Amino acid sequence: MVGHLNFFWFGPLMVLFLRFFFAYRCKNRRKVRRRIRELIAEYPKRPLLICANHLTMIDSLLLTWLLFDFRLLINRYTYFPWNVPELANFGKNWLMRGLCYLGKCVYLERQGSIASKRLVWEKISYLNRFGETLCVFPEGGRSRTGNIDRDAAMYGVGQLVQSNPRTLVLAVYLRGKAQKTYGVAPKWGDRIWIDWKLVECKIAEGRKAQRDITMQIFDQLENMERKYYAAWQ
Amino acid sequence: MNQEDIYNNVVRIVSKHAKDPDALSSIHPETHILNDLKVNSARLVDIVLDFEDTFDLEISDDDADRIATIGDAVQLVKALKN
Repeated sequence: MVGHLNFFWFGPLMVLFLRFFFAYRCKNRRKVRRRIRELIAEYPKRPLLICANHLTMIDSLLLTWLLFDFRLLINRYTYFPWNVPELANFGKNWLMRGLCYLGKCVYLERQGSIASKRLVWEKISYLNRFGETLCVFPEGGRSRTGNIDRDAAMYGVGQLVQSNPRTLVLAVYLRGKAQKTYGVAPKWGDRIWIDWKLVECKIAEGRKAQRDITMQIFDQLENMERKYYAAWQ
Repeated sequence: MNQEDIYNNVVRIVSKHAKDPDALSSIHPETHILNDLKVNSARLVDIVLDFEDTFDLEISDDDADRIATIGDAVQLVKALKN
C-alpha cells in the first residue's frame, strides 16, 4: 500500500532519471511492453517470474521501466516486480534502504547464514504464491564473464518454479550496445537492447529437476544473447 | 564401499568444482569446501547431486546444509550408506 501510493512520485522520478539523466534509449520498448500486456491479458491470474541476465547495478530499474507501462503499474501494482538485492550493496545507508523499501525489495545476504537464506526463500516463495511479480538474476550476481555464465547458475530459480508450476517464467535479456562487460550502469546515452521469451519449463520433482528447470531458462537467455550479438555487434 | 573409497570419490567430485588448484594438492578431511577450495556456493548443489549419483543415496536439504568440509561429506555418506 505504502509502495503503491509512493509509486505516483517515484515512478515518474525513476523514468526521468533513466530517460533524461542517463539518456538511455530503447527503440523496441513499446513493442516489448505490448507483448507483456498481451501475456498478462492471456494469463491474468498467474504470477510472473522475470529471470534476467545481469550486468549492471541498475538492471532492475531498467527492466521495470522497459517491460511495464507506467499505467499498468499504477493500476496493478502487483506487476511492479519484487527484487532480491544483496544487503551489502543496497542496504548501506538509510536512503538506499528507503528506496529499496519503496521499490519492493527483499534483502539477501550472500555470505549470510543458512537460516537467513531460508527466510529469504520463504518470503519470495510466499510472494510468488500470492501472485506477485518477482525479478531475479539466475546468475546470482553480475556476470563476471560479461556474458551468460552457466557456471554461476543458482538453482533456486528452478526450485521456485518447481514449487509453483503456475508461474510464468520470462527469460529477459537486457544489455546496452556499448556494454562490454559488467559495470555499475550502462554508458550515458547508451542504446538498450531488451528482449524476452516465455519459457515453457518442463517441470519434474526432485533436486535434479531444479537444475534442469534453471538450465532451460539459461538456454533461452543464451539464445537471446546470440540474437543480441548477431544484431548489434 | 569402505571409508577410503568414499573419501577418494568425495575428493574427486569436489575437485571438479574447486577454483583453487593449489589447495587441491594439500587436500585433507578438514579442508573447507567453500573457503579453502574456493568452490562457488551455487555449485554445492551439483556436488550433492554427484554424491547422490555416485553413492546411490538420497541426501536431504538439512543434511546437505551441514556439509562444510571434505570430512563432513565423507561422514555423511558413510552414515547414509550404513
